[in-house]
Amino acid sequence: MHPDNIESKVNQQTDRIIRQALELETDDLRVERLQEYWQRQSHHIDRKRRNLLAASLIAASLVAVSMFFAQHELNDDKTPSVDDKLASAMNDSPAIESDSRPRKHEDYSPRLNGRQPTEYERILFAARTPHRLTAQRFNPATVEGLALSLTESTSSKVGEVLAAAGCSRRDAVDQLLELSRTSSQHELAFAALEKLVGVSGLGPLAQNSRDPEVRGALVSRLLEINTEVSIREFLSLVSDKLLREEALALIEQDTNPPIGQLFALLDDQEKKVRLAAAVTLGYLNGPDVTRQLIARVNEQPSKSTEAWLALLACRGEMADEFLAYAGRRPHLLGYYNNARVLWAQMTP
Amino acid sequence: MPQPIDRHLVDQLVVEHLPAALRVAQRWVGDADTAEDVMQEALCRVLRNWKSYRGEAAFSTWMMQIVVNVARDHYRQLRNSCELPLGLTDNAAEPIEHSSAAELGEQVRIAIDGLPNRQREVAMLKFGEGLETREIAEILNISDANVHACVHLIRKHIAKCLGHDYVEQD
Repeated sequence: MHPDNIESKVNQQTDRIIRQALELETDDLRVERLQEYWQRQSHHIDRKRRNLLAASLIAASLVAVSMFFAQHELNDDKTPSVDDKLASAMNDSPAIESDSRPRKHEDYSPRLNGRQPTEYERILFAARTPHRLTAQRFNPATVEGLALSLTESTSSKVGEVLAAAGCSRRDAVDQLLELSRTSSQHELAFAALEKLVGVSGLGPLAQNSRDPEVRGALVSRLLEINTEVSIREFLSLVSDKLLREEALALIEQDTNPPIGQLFALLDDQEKKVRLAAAVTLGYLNGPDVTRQLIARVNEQPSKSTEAWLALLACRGEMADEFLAYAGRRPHLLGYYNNARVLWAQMTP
Repeated sequence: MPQPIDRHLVDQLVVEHLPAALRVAQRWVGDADTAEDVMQEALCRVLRNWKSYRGEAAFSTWMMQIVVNVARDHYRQLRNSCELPLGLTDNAAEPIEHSSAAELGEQVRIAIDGLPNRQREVAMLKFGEGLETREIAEILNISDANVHACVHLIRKHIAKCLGHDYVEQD
């Protein structure tokens, strides 16, 4: 065979192998998501541009109107102003004796420099008034009654129970959280809270609570419930940088952590949930968890990004040994590197 | 003088070239989720700069330039944020021992990862997307001759890894 033909054949074969190695299926779901993103962003930018245009037009018209009035005032300078007319009229009228009797304050609404507040000022004052001013004071007996009524009522009747107790949903939540501090009423308070905000509402409550004790009780309750919804709520706390340490410390104390649920959530559709599950599993560590993670990574190295991250988060000897092994194996090294890069981004 | 492109046409072209752009991003960063993030950033840049497109090059080339730039920024950021193990380059020089097609593919991908940046980029556009030399040169802002030289080096490197006797072509 001619040497040129041999060269060309070798090149063709090499090209074919490279093409096959770099072949990638288009992920239709991601493409669809990106199309939606593109449409959303373009609408957003169009709207922004329109708003900017409208704002500039309004500003221009305001400038024009103010210039018109300024011009008008200049023209009117020659004629006497309303104030001048009023002053001359007062000079002409007879003097009135001042009233020596004390003045009656019939209207107690706030006054500003002797004038009534405008509607806008009234709204502003109301908005700035702390809500707690109107909240009811904590009374264990009343709250216990409310908790009992809530636990016995159906979800549709919750509004009626609150109306009968004469307190808002927010006040009821605050008072039930207060009641949960009493060890004897802890269960009752949480059962009522779940009726009021649902299991999915416990996570946001923990996130918004400033009291570490209440937060701890809410997190423990989420772990105790141990359903997919409650574990998702727990993971939302792990995703929160400020609460992560606290949530992880609590799951570590749990005698029966939801390992199975966490492994299942490593395949969740939401990236945030997957990453939080990985961080939690890594934190839980332990030989069983590590063994399962290693098995998962070995089985499907390309589809186990989160399991890789969990292994990086593990602090055990077994995990360290496996990662050292992965660093020496070409078929694992690429994924290991990728996970390290992601991990470095997550933990700056 | 070239006219600015119509906005509706931009929408149409972006949607048309989205799958290819996503594939390029995924090859560049290696992870589907990160590729999606890169694409979102690239789409934002397209939205900000579409008025500057005057039709001197194909829209796909212009869009791919943006995707490649974002992916490069991302890659650079990653390299700065953590040090990767250097096992790749040692293995890449030795012939690959493989037992299955999937394993061979994996080894070739690793060998490509071990290439210098420019060659890696050319490999992804040439062999991954099957783009023409002219188009690759425009996207990467290099000369045609440079692309040819890179292709030659890539073939040589991979052939060596595969244990083939690479013969230079004129």
